[in-house]
Amino acid sequence: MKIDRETLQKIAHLARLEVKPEEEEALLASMENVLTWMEQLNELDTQGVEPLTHVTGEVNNWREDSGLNRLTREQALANAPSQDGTYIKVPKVIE
Amino acid sequence: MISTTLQPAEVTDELLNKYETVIGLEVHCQLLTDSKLFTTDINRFGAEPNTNIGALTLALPGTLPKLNKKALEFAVRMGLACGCTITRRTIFDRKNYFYPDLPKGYQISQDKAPICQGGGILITTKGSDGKPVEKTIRFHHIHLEEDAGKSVHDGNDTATLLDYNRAGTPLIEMVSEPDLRSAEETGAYVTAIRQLVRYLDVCDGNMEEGSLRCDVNISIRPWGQEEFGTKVEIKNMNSIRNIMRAVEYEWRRQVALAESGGTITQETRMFDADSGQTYGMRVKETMNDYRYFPDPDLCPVELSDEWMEEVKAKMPALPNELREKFVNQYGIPAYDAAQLTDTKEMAAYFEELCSHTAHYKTASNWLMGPVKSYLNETGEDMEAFPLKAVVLAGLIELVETGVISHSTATQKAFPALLENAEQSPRELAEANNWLQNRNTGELETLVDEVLAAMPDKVTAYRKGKKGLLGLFVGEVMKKSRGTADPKLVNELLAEKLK
Repeated sequence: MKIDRETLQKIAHLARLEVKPEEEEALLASMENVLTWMEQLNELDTQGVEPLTHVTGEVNNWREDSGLNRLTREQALANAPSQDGTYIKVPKVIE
Repeated sequence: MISTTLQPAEVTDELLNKYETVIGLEVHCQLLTDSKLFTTDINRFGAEPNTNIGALTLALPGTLPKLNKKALEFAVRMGLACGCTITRRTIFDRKNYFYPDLPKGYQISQDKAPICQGGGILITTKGSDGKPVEKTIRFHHIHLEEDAGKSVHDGNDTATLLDYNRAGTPLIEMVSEPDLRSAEETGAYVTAIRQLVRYLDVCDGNMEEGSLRCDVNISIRPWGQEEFGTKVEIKNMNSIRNIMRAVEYEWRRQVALAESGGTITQETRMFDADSGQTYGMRVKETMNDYRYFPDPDLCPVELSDEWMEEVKAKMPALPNELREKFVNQYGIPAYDAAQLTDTKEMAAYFEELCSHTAHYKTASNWLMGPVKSYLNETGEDMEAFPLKAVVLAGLIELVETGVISHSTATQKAFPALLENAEQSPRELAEANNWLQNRNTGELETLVDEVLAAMPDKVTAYRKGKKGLLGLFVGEVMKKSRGTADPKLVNELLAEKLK
């Protein structure tokens, strides 16, 4: 499968990755390689086969509705790159 | 150029009538669970910022989500109430996008197998002849998802402040088919949903606090055209009135644009309640690419027949069912039934009232009259109404059996009982000398005195001036200082004047 530079840059942008022009060739080759390998699956007839979304067969791993806070605010904010003791701060997202 | 562009306010009815408005809604309801959708963090509005956030909400490495069974049950409850098909094997999907209000970089939602499919809700609007018109608005589906955190943009000059208390709290999103055609219908639709979620106890329906929010999709098309026009999404309405104002404005704006030869662009617009207008967000609109895929951290959910039966058994009576019951069982008019089922608290009170008195229509009048006036004056909900149903029923019985007059009951006894709800209506009436005189002997004496004092009027009455009866009744009432039972006085007079 052929991947063009535009698609590569779009995918990189969706993942918020910066791809430098000198890295493009290698990444294109790598992605094409993976996709070509995956394309082998197209040889199989999957008519009438339900998509397999989960592999373990486990269902209903749910819990009762019971509220419990396990971190204090101080603990919860401790690892944030920027915070003021009440809020987590990020660069302004709107003007 | 500007002078030739039609302004929304200038659009005439004639131009508006050339187009059909097509509206669809996405309504989000915050579920009244104790904990979040996939973790135990407390789910509560109005808590101090960032006090209900744990490791999962913060997307710390190594955390795994675990589904809140109650949230699932609430979604199914809403689906059952709306006649939806419940998806018996459902999964959760990741909706990928980067925005600081979601620490994970994706929102857990449902894409391929939403919990409820189809169904709908009945709305009632006023027709052009003033009579109620009913219409079913179909649902495309209802899905479960987690809410995002809250961004504060105006608290700081250079930073956006984040409060993650709301991040991960459970929502149901109801996506309608494009079945709505006007601002009135849209208002009625949101009203019906709000009423239903409150009946079902799944959401408090508080639009100002944002526990019920909606996005409106609206487009116009010339009448008769099958193809839909380009749709515009409107956000930021915090009341049903504002939703209706936004629809009204956007409809006019689109017609003005179409009539001026302009093109309607697909975009998201914000409603501004102060100006009553919608504004484009002026952001580069790129097609969203959410790359949904099944969340591998959450295993599928399979709902057994047994589980479904348990949920069904816990379903409360719905407003439609109660309306029908009130009309059929208590024989009250459909209008009364609609008023009394407005909230489930009012409906429950009426039912309790009817278990203590057989005067159903009178009971309904009391609730729609004095009780509603009291609630309006005090701004209280029915939940806070001080009188027990059994006490109000006692008061109704006193009036119906002629012990006290209707006006004494509404103007004196009712306010006194509201002041002190512990009194018995009969003792209150006795203590204040409000009892009507039903002593036939005493009243007969008064009647005789009155008739003896007005012989010419009595003759006139007997000759056919029947209108004089009111005068006699009035005189007897005066003599009794208002204590006589007017019904009894009427009977006695009719007898004497034969």
